[in-house]
Amino acid sequence: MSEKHAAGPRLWLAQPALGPKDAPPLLMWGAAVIAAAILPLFVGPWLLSTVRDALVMGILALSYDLLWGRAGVLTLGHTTFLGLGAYGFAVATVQFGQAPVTGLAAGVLCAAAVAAVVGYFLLFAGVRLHFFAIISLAVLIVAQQLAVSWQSVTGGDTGILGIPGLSVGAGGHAFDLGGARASWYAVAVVLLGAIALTWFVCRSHYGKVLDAIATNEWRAKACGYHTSFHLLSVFVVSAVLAAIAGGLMASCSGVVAPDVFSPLLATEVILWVAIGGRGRTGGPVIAAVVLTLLKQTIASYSTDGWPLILGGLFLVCVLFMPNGLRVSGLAAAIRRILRAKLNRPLLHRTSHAQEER
Amino acid sequence: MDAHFLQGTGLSRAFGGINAVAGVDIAIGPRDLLCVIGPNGAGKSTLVGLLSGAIASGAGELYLDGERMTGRPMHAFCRRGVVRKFQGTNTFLTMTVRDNLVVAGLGVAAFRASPMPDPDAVLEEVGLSGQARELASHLPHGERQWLEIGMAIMCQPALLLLDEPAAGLSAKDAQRLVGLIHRLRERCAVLAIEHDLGFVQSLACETWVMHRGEVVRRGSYAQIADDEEIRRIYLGRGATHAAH
Repeated sequence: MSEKHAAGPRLWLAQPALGPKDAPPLLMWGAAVIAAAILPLFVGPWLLSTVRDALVMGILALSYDLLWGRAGVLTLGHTTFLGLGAYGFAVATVQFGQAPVTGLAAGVLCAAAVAAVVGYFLLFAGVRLHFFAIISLAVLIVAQQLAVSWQSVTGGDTGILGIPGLSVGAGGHAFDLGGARASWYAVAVVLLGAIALTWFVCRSHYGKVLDAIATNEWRAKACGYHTSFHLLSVFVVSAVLAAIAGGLMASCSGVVAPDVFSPLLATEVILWVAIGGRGRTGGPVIAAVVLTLLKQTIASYSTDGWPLILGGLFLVCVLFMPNGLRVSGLAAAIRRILRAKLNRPLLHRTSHAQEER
Repeated sequence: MDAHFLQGTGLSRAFGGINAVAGVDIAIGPRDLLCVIGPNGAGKSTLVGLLSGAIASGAGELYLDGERMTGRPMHAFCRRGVVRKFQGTNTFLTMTVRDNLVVAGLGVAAFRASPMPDPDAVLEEVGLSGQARELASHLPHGERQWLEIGMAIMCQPALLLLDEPAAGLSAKDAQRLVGLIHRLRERCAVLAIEHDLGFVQSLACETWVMHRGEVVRRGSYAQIADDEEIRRIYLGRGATHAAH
């Protein structure tokens, strides 16, 4: 079956011509590249590492946006793959003394294998929507229990300490990416690279196919798509991306503990994508970075405050911004308020309401 | 057998003890045009479901081009050329009209590693060129019907299954559809299910009548229309004109 899917990849990835619609994202990501390049020159190492950790969460948000935002697969256990990536990296480097690159590969392979097996049995059996979400939560809890109880390998509750930073060996030279600046650049390159790839894929015909499957899977089947196969591919790719984020997280912080598998973080991931706007690549990444930074700021005042604020944000988002926070939506809201203030007749109110739905 | 694109024998499907389709034999050649009529609940839509792979048959065998297709998934049917237009409408509502067509054409084209039909030409054919950039959800029902037919054409059908294509179309549009179906016949076989007998009459083709899951009559429309028993089954008591 798979070689038949490989037929015509050119057709799948055909890109529409660049148009004015592409200008805002290109400008935005151009600015992001420049900011990522020059920020380390102006910012101290502590702040730099804080923002770097937030960028790692941006990669996680991107992976979930691909899965939920594009393919419409809701999971409650996406951090399973973040944790597998982190533990894979930690176990390979600390317990088995492998090079960091091998560790990253081990984490990614591990996550991809779990995603492929779980995804195959669920997606090919037609498990969808909340059923899939609940089972993914169960998988997360199993992984968490495994991390706690398999002490000889995972270090139990304490986790694994002293994880080495990233380093890449090439042509006899070892490039140490462990320092504040070096790891910043490593994370920024991975994030921006992943964004660029996602953007290209989602812009291509294949992105439309994923949209179609998310909108109306039955109809897509009737158009000759093996939808389970496509959903499984996206699931595995998303897991790989999350595992890369996990590996980076472990190498940056030097420690990994069972709380990477926490359902709270898994919920936060959903929230990032919901606030940033499903299927809009940039929004979820920005939301993840901003909210993670906010969380760290708040955590320095009170440790209990964050889940409360998170819950409130989620409610606000579901009730008032079902499509996520958008600049255009905000502008429309402000226009409406101004118009109401000026007491002009609201002739177009209904049409606005329809547009927003 | 080779002369027929689709060959089904003894196709049956029961839902909770009711035989929706009970032992239908069907053979469709490469350029055939066939209309299936019958009262509500006669099993017409179930028959289309069986032929398109959307519903697994309870008994019977189905072959496409000599390949056994019994129990295969729906996407496999589509890739081999059995393309279906759903009853009511079923499109990708959140996408533009043109993207609907592109997505519809891409799956089959990628499977066959051949270029897909030009979406703009198909838009022209179904008369939606002006609405190419509209969201499918913004189209009125009648235009969504045309969009569905366009999506079916994009799938490069060898056999097109039309489930109530004229429902919701104005009389003028229905005549336009008759013209389109006759043009499509130059490329593929068409099986249409219809309630509107005026539409069936203007197709002027072989017509089958289904009743309680069985095909009770096969013949030209004129023969069917003259059949006293069919009038009784189809139109109920007191009806004197089969066509209205």
